[in-house]
Amino acid sequence: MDQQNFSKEKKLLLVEDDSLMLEVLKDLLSETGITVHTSVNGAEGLKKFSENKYDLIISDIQMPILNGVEFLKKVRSQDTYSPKFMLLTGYSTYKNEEVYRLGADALMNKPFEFDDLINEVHKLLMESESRGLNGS
Amino acid sequence: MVPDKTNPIWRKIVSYSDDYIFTTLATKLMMMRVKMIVENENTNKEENILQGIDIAYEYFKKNQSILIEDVDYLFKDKDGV
Repeated sequence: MDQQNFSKEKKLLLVEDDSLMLEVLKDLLSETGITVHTSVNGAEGLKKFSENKYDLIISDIQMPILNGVEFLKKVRSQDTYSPKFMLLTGYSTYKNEEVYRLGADALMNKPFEFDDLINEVHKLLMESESRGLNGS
Repeated sequence: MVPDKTNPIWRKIVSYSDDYIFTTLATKLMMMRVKMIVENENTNKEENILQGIDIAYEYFKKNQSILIEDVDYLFKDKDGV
Protein backbone atom coordinates (compact mmCIF):
# COMPACT_ATOMS: atom_id res chain seq x y z
CA MET A 1 0.00 0.00 0.00
CA ASP A 2 1.40 3.38 -0.98
CA GLN A 3 1.15 6.07 1.60
CA GLN A 4 0.43 9.52 0.24
CA ASN A 5 2.31 12.28 1.99
CA PHE A 6 1.15 15.86 2.00
CA SER A 7 2.66 19.06 3.23
CA LYS A 8 1.92 20.10 6.81
CA GLU A 9 0.73 23.32 5.25
CA LYS A 10 -2.40 21.52 4.15
CA LYS A 11 -5.11 22.03 6.71
CA LEU A 12 -8.16 19.82 6.99
CA LEU A 13 -11.25 20.03 9.18
CA LEU A 14 -12.75 16.66 10.07
CA VAL A 15 -16.32 16.72 11.42
CA GLU A 16 -17.72 13.46 12.78
CA ASP A 17 -19.99 12.73 15.75
CA ASP A 18 -18.76 9.14 16.21
CA SER A 19 -15.83 9.71 18.56
CA LEU A 20 -14.17 6.44 17.61
CA MET A 21 -14.28 7.21 13.88
CA LEU A 22 -13.13 10.76 14.57
CA GLU A 23 -10.07 9.58 16.47
CA VAL A 24 -9.13 6.85 13.99
CA LEU A 25 -9.60 9.08 10.93
CA LYS A 26 -7.66 11.89 12.55
CA ASP A 27 -4.72 9.55 13.26
CA LEU A 28 -4.80 8.12 9.75
CA LEU A 29 -5.01 11.46 7.98
CA SER A 30 -2.39 13.06 10.24
CA GLU A 31 0.07 10.36 9.25
CA THR A 32 -0.16 11.49 5.63
CA GLY A 33 1.28 14.83 6.74
CA ILE A 34 -1.91 16.90 6.79
CA THR A 35 -2.72 19.11 9.76
CA VAL A 36 -6.09 17.85 11.00
CA HIS A 37 -8.53 19.78 13.19
CA THR A 38 -11.65 18.05 14.50
CA SER A 39 -15.22 18.86 15.48
CA VAL A 40 -18.05 16.65 16.71
CA ASN A 41 -20.92 18.36 14.88
CA GLY A 42 -21.63 20.94 12.20
CA ALA A 43 -22.19 23.79 14.64
CA GLU A 44 -18.78 23.31 16.20
CA GLY A 45 -17.34 22.79 12.72
CA LEU A 46 -18.79 26.08 11.56
CA LYS A 47 -17.06 27.90 14.41
CA LYS A 48 -13.71 26.34 13.47
CA PHE A 49 -14.36 27.13 9.80
CA SER A 50 -14.75 30.81 10.69
CA GLU A 51 -11.59 30.87 12.82
CA ASN A 52 -9.25 29.02 10.42
CA LYS A 53 -8.60 28.64 6.73
CA TYR A 54 -8.95 25.04 5.61
CA ASP A 55 -7.98 23.47 2.29
CA LEU A 56 -10.50 20.70 2.79
CA ILE A 57 -13.46 19.86 5.02
CA ILE A 58 -14.51 16.24 5.51
CA SER A 59 -17.84 15.90 7.26
CA ASP A 60 -20.12 13.05 8.20
CA ILE A 61 -23.64 13.56 6.90
CA GLN A 62 -25.59 12.25 9.91
CA MET A 63 -24.86 14.35 12.96
CA PRO A 64 -26.83 15.97 15.77
CA ILE A 65 -27.25 19.75 16.17
CA LEU A 66 -26.18 20.60 12.60
CA ASN A 67 -25.93 17.74 10.11
CA GLY A 68 -23.37 17.53 7.31
CA VAL A 69 -25.64 18.92 4.59
CA GLU A 70 -26.78 21.88 6.69
CA PHE A 71 -23.15 22.48 7.60
CA LEU A 72 -22.21 22.37 3.90
CA LYS A 73 -24.95 24.90 3.08
CA LYS A 74 -23.68 27.30 5.75
CA VAL A 75 -20.07 26.96 4.58
CA ARG A 76 -21.08 27.64 0.97
CA SER A 77 -23.17 30.63 2.01
CA GLN A 78 -20.10 32.38 3.48
CA ASP A 79 -18.18 34.70 1.23
CA THR A 80 -14.88 34.43 3.13
CA TYR A 81 -13.28 31.45 1.36
CA SER A 82 -14.43 28.24 -0.25
CA PRO A 83 -12.64 25.04 0.80
CA LYS A 84 -13.08 21.68 -0.90
CA PHE A 85 -15.83 19.75 0.87
CA MET A 86 -16.25 15.98 1.13
CA LEU A 87 -19.27 14.33 2.75
CA LEU A 88 -19.11 10.90 4.36
CA THR A 89 -22.45 9.29 3.68
CA GLY A 90 -24.17 6.26 5.07
CA TYR A 91 -27.93 5.98 5.15
CA SER A 92 -29.27 9.40 4.32
CA THR A 93 -32.47 10.99 3.02
CA TYR A 94 -30.39 13.27 0.80
CA LYS A 95 -29.83 12.34 -2.83
CA ASN A 96 -26.31 12.50 -4.25
CA GLU A 97 -27.30 15.01 -6.94
CA GLU A 98 -28.78 17.25 -4.27
CA VAL A 99 -25.61 17.43 -2.17
CA TYR A 100 -23.46 18.03 -5.26
CA ARG A 101 -25.83 20.84 -6.24
CA LEU A 102 -25.43 22.31 -2.76
CA GLY A 103 -21.69 22.48 -3.23
CA ALA A 104 -20.14 19.16 -2.16
CA ASP A 105 -17.02 18.28 -4.15
CA ALA A 106 -16.98 14.58 -3.26
CA LEU A 107 -19.01 11.90 -1.52
CA MET A 108 -17.59 8.86 0.22
CA ASN A 109 -20.02 6.09 1.06
CA LYS A 110 -19.55 4.27 4.37
CA PRO A 111 -18.12 1.72 4.71
CA PHE A 112 -15.16 2.86 2.62
CA GLU A 113 -11.58 1.70 2.22
CA PHE A 114 -8.86 3.96 3.56
CA ASP A 115 -7.06 3.88 0.20
CA ASP A 116 -10.18 5.24 -1.53
CA LEU A 117 -10.52 8.00 1.04
CA ILE A 118 -6.89 9.05 0.82
CA ASN A 119 -6.94 9.02 -3.00
CA GLU A 120 -9.96 11.32 -2.96
CA VAL A 121 -8.34 13.58 -0.36
CA HIS A 122 -5.22 13.76 -2.51
CA LYS A 123 -7.26 14.65 -5.59
CA LEU A 124 -9.21 17.38 -3.78
CA LEU A 125 -6.06 18.89 -2.27
CA MET A 126 -4.40 18.95 -5.69
CA GLU A 127 -7.45 20.70 -7.15
CA SER A 128 -7.45 23.14 -4.26
CA GLU A 129 -3.75 23.89 -4.81
CA SER A 130 -4.19 24.34 -8.52
CA ARG A 131 -7.12 26.69 -7.91
CA GLY A 132 -4.93 28.69 -5.52
CA LEU A 133 -2.11 28.89 -8.07
CA ASN A 134 -4.54 30.09 -10.70
CA GLY A 135 -5.68 32.76 -8.30
CA SER A 136 -9.33 31.87 -8.69
CA MET B 1 -11.36 -9.32 27.38
CA VAL B 2 -8.35 -7.70 25.74
CA PRO B 3 -5.18 -9.67 26.53
CA ASP B 4 -1.96 -8.17 27.78
CA LYS B 5 0.30 -6.55 25.20
CA THR B 6 2.88 -9.31 25.70
CA ASN B 7 0.44 -11.98 24.48
CA PRO B 8 1.72 -13.46 21.16
CA ILE B 9 -1.68 -12.99 19.55
CA TRP B 10 -0.90 -9.28 19.05
CA ARG B 11 2.07 -10.05 16.83
CA LYS B 12 -0.15 -12.31 14.72
CA ILE B 13 -2.90 -9.69 14.47
CA VAL B 14 -0.63 -6.87 13.31
CA SER B 15 1.55 -9.04 11.07
CA TYR B 16 -1.35 -10.78 9.28
CA SER B 17 -4.04 -8.10 9.47
CA ASP B 18 -5.47 -9.07 6.07
CA ASP B 19 -6.54 -12.41 7.52
CA TYR B 20 -9.01 -10.72 9.87
CA ILE B 21 -12.46 -9.44 9.01
CA PHE B 22 -13.72 -6.76 11.37
CA THR B 23 -17.26 -5.53 11.92
CA THR B 24 -16.61 -1.90 12.88
CA LEU B 25 -15.50 0.58 10.22
CA ALA B 26 -13.30 2.39 12.76
CA THR B 27 -11.51 -0.90 13.51
CA LYS B 28 -11.00 -1.61 9.80
CA LEU B 29 -9.49 1.84 9.35
CA MET B 30 -7.33 1.55 12.47
CA MET B 31 -5.98 -1.78 11.18
CA MET B 32 -5.19 -0.11 7.82
CA ARG B 33 -3.08 2.36 9.77
CA VAL B 34 -1.34 -0.49 11.58
CA LYS B 35 -0.74 -2.25 8.27
CA MET B 36 0.86 0.86 6.76
CA ILE B 37 3.17 1.15 9.75
CA VAL B 38 4.11 -2.56 9.81
CA GLU B 39 4.80 -2.61 6.06
CA ASN B 40 6.89 0.57 6.05
CA GLU B 41 10.12 -0.50 4.35
CA ASN B 42 12.01 2.61 5.41
CA THR B 43 12.11 1.69 9.08
CA ASN B 44 13.12 -1.33 11.16
CA LYS B 45 10.67 -4.23 10.74
CA GLU B 46 10.69 -5.26 14.40
CA GLU B 47 10.17 -1.68 15.57
CA ASN B 48 7.30 -1.38 13.09
CA ILE B 49 5.63 -4.47 14.53
CA LEU B 50 6.04 -3.22 18.10
CA GLN B 51 4.59 0.16 17.13
CA GLY B 52 1.68 -1.60 15.42
CA ILE B 53 1.06 -3.67 18.56
CA ASP B 54 1.07 -0.51 20.71
CA ILE B 55 -1.52 1.18 18.48
CA ALA B 56 -3.80 -1.87 18.18
CA TYR B 57 -3.56 -2.70 21.88
CA GLU B 58 -4.36 0.86 23.01
CA TYR B 59 -7.27 1.05 20.56
CA PHE B 60 -8.91 -2.21 21.69
CA LYS B 61 -8.13 -1.66 25.37
CA LYS B 62 -9.58 1.85 25.40
CA ASN B 63 -12.67 1.00 23.35
CA GLN B 64 -13.38 -2.61 24.32
CA SER B 65 -16.77 -1.75 25.84
CA ILE B 66 -18.08 -0.50 22.48
CA LEU B 67 -16.16 -2.94 20.26
CA ILE B 68 -17.73 -6.08 21.67
CA GLU B 69 -18.07 -7.94 18.34
CA ASP B 70 -14.53 -7.20 17.19
CA VAL B 71 -13.06 -7.97 20.61
CA ASP B 72 -14.95 -11.27 20.83
CA TYR B 73 -13.93 -12.16 17.29
CA LEU B 74 -10.26 -11.59 18.06
CA PHE B 75 -9.91 -12.85 21.59
CA LYS B 76 -12.81 -15.02 22.72
CA ASP B 77 -11.84 -18.66 23.22
CA LYS B 78 -8.49 -18.15 21.52
CA ASP B 79 -5.54 -20.24 22.63
CA GLY B 80 -3.08 -18.45 24.84
CA VAL B 81 -5.57 -15.78 25.98
